[in-house]
Amino acid sequence: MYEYRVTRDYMFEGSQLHEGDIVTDADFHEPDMPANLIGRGVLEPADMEAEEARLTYTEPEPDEDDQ
Amino acid sequence: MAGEANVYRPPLDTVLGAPDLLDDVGWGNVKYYLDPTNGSDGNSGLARTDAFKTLPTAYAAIPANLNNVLVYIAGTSSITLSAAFTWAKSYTHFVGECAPSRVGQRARIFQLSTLTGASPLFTWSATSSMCINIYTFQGVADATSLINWLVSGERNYFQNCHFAGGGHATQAINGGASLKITGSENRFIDCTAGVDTIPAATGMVGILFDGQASRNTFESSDVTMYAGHTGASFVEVADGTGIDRYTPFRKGCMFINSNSDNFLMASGFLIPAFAGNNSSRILVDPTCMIHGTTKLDAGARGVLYGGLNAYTGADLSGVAVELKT
Repeated sequence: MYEYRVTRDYMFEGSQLHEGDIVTDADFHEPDMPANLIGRGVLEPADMEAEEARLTYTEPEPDEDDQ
Repeated sequence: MAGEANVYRPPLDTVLGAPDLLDDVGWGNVKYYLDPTNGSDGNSGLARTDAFKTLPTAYAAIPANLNNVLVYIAGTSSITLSAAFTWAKSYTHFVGECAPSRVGQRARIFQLSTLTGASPLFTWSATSSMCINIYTFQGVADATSLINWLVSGERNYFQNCHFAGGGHATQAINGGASLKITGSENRFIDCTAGVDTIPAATGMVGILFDGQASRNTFESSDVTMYAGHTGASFVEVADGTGIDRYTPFRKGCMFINSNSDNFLMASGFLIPAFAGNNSSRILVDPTCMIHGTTKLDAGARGVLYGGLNAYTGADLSGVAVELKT
């Protein structure tokens, strides 16, 4: 279950989202809605440390000869 | 029993002049209908009012190689795939009946939240087929489903389709791609690959070429990303034989990183070393635009060429130059 934090009050398809609330993927009836709301600045990942770790992970550079 | 006479004509193409593919003069044989909102899998699928409800059932009902057409009637309900899906029927076409918006068309397909290992989620292995006005969004908490679409067939035509992979943070990671192409001689017009809402981690790309993909052409198409790390890229070639011959981006293709204030891509095109004397090329015409990268080809592989106002002198104006930086 992936959790998101509501960053501002927002009315979305008849439901009021309140700043500070935590919502999950399961709260939306189609999978693209969380991404849509992230794009509108309404949601952000609730676990920012995990998000930071995901984004900054880097694999070891392969040797040039291996490519 | 034939389909209804009132054929669907996609409201497209007036600018680019692509054929009116489903004109009743001759394009398209029998029309089958898919309506997730009002259809039923017990129906014949041969009329709008007798449409199928799910994609696998509708697809199974269509004979291949007859230029039949499956029309996806968009509505308040969508298609959610509970298993990876393959469109393998050649000369068989798939058209979304919905407003031809550039992104997020409402003839939409999703991955079920409990489905894992769907990589790719949607495989198009058919040849000589068309896919128009379809949106496929891969965005669930599953790190085993990283490839949204795979086009492995040849000589297909894609118009106004949105290939939206990496739509969940769990999937916008290394190895992820919105569109992977291993087939050849496919044509993409007015398409979009990528999402610009989920920060793309290092290694996440919009389009991935592999398997000597050759002569695939893109026109007026976009690659949209939201780089969450400098290691994200618009386009990746998997290895030194990932592409062959030419791969042109024409007529106003745009490569847009919508988080450029925070992360510039280190290399918009991620290209490995090719074997010596290999003339495979990615060609970007002067009407295209690339935004949000530090370099276009940080490896300076000699594969990426374009005009893009990088003229080297009066005598060479308009002559494509290698895009290294």
